[in-house]
Amino acid sequence: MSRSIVAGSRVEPSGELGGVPVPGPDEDAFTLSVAAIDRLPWPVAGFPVRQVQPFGPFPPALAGDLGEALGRPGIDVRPARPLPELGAGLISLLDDPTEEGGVALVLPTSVPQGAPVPPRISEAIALGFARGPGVRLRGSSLPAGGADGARIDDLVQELRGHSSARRAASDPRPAPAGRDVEVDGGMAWSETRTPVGGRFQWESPAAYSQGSSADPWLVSEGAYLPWPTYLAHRSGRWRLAAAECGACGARFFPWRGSCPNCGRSDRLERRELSRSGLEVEATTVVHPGAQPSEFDLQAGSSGSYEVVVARADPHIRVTLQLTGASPGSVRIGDRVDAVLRRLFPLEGAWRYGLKAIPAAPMAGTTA
Amino acid sequence: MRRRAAVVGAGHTRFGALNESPRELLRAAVDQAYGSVDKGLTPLDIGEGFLGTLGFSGWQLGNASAVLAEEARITGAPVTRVENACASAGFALRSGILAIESGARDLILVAGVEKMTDAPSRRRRYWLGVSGDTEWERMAGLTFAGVYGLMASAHMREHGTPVEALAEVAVKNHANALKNPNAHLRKAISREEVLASPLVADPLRLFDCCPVSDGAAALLLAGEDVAHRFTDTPVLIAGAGAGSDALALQDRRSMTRLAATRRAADEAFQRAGVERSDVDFLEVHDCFTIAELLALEDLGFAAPGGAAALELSGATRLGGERPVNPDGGLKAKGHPIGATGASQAYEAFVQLRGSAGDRQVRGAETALAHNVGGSGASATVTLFSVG
Ligand SMILES: [Zn+2]
Repeated sequence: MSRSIVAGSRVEPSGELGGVPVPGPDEDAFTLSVAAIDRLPWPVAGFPVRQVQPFGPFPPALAGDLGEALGRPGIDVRPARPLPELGAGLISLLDDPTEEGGVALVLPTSVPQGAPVPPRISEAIALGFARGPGVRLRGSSLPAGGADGARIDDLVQELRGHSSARRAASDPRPAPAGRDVEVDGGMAWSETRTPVGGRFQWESPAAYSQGSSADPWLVSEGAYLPWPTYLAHRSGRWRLAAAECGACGARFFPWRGSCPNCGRSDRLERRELSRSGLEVEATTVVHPGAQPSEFDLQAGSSGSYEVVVARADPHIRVTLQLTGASPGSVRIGDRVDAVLRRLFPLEGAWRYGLKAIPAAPMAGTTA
Repeated sequence: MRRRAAVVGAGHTRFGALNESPRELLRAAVDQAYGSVDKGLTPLDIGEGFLGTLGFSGWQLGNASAVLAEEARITGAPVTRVENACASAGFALRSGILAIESGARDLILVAGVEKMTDAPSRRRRYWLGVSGDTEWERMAGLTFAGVYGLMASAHMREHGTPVEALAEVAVKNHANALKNPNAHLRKAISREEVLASPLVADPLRLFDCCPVSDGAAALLLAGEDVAHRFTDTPVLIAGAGAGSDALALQDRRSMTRLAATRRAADEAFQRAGVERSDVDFLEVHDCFTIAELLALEDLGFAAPGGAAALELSGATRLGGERPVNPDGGLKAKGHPIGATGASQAYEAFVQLRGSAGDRQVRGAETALAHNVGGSGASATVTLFSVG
């Protein structure tokens, strides 16, 4: 019998959601969905998760290959589809008696708070929920689901509160407001796309092309990481995946095709480093005017930001921008966690990458 | 014995926010270099040219060396653009030195130019980061101010380096620039003013940072055996060294020492056969005040963590035991990226010929110039001595 995990993550453009402040300007449906997947017990106890079907306001180029991007081999990722159609597809999958695997459905919805989830999706979630562990969407019309439901509620709550609640506690500044920092409302991806040279280009959402102090849909004026190269390396980039050389034991990051120590390329293995508790070795606070121009939008809306160099491994450091805490609040010797965040828009697409948040207290330790 | 190269002429435009185009700046620096050759020189005798430039804001990203050939009136001779970020001209100079030391050329033109002030702010900020690590540092929101801010924070943590030592570098170099008619920032500043200036990349403040400048400098190198045809007082290049390191700070063994500088210095001193105690003054790469401290430590003039005390003692001032950046350094003279390495060599040339005017280091016979690319991915060290 098939079972399902349904992880819902919803981003609201402003205000509060269930008493939790809205996510920061660098969080959106995509980063929350990735976080949702990260927070799922993985592989889900009892069965390997086989399917992820993200949809909603994802950057289209990222929606279709989330599994690959996350370095989760075996995940069959399907392209975004309209909600009812996706719901129908999910139902048929769940109803298939020959289906042995599990289903993970990530729902980054932009459904207004309190509004019902479209019927076919509700049905699919309910069905999946009835068949096994599931996570319901908060605020949806689904039944609560008893003990499992409470556990699932906790999971969703934890996911949502992971950074936001901490930010609220540590950052006395008012939540940023305005069009430039809207999260979901401003992320209405235009569906108008035109194949260009075998790839797609997207038109700029109108929300960003009007009234913004800086055009966020920058066209590169010089050196930068081209989109295809960025996509090709996103898995390692987002998962802090280093390479370990089986021949000499060297570890290096980011991934590259041959060992920088011994030069061999035949025994490289992917090693995901822990994204928790990285020790900070250097810090700086970049003040407006000292940012690269890709960060003009961010610097204009939320001002200074902190950047840290943190140790991820005895031989590997990473450079990360701090988020979810006041600039200057992280010092050398502190620990941070690496989380996926939206970085900046360039040439019609958001760039995502790791940022740092103050480390969550280690389980089992007391202050 | 190895054939050495000698500087027989040098030119330098004013540094600052200038009206001239890159072509005009190059021509001015080269013409001044030609004019400085005591016994005259025919441009067409120049065997080869090397141009240091980042091509800031994209003024001539490809084939920029052709512009040097045209403006220097040596078209026909091979010319090459050398690009190692802020060390572009240091490495152009090195290319010229190697061409002469190898015997391949007798007379070489080395020039550096950058035009930085006429690009719109956003484009400028874009370009100020292009020489950093693109894949990580830049995507974390860093330009070089941020990278040097990280290095400063780590240095302070490791050695207890006081911000007053950083401020002292700025105060000293501003004072020196007052005596340099080519300098960009000719304004005395106090330690209090430095420490009260706005933060740019904590702990670095506005007055810890070099300005964005336009300018050009040019050098004429000859084999020491033919140098007498051009002047009776050539400045010898006693030894040159260079080195490299990982592009990104995160990938370096140390974040408070520049391995590229250490290697370059060791090579230069070894080739020159001189000791550090022989050096009368230094031109070091002080794009940010912390960089001057790092330079003194990595070049071997202070122990790790010891440069702060050296600066605060006054030993590095003009008139001190061993002046550092008598021309004002990048910090106050200005830092037109691709011109800086040539500008440092220009200072060595005029100082060792005793023609540096108000900022003359008395009795200077040996000088060191140190040029760094980016945050330390590349570096050159060149030792000059009186002929
Ligand atoms: Zn190896």
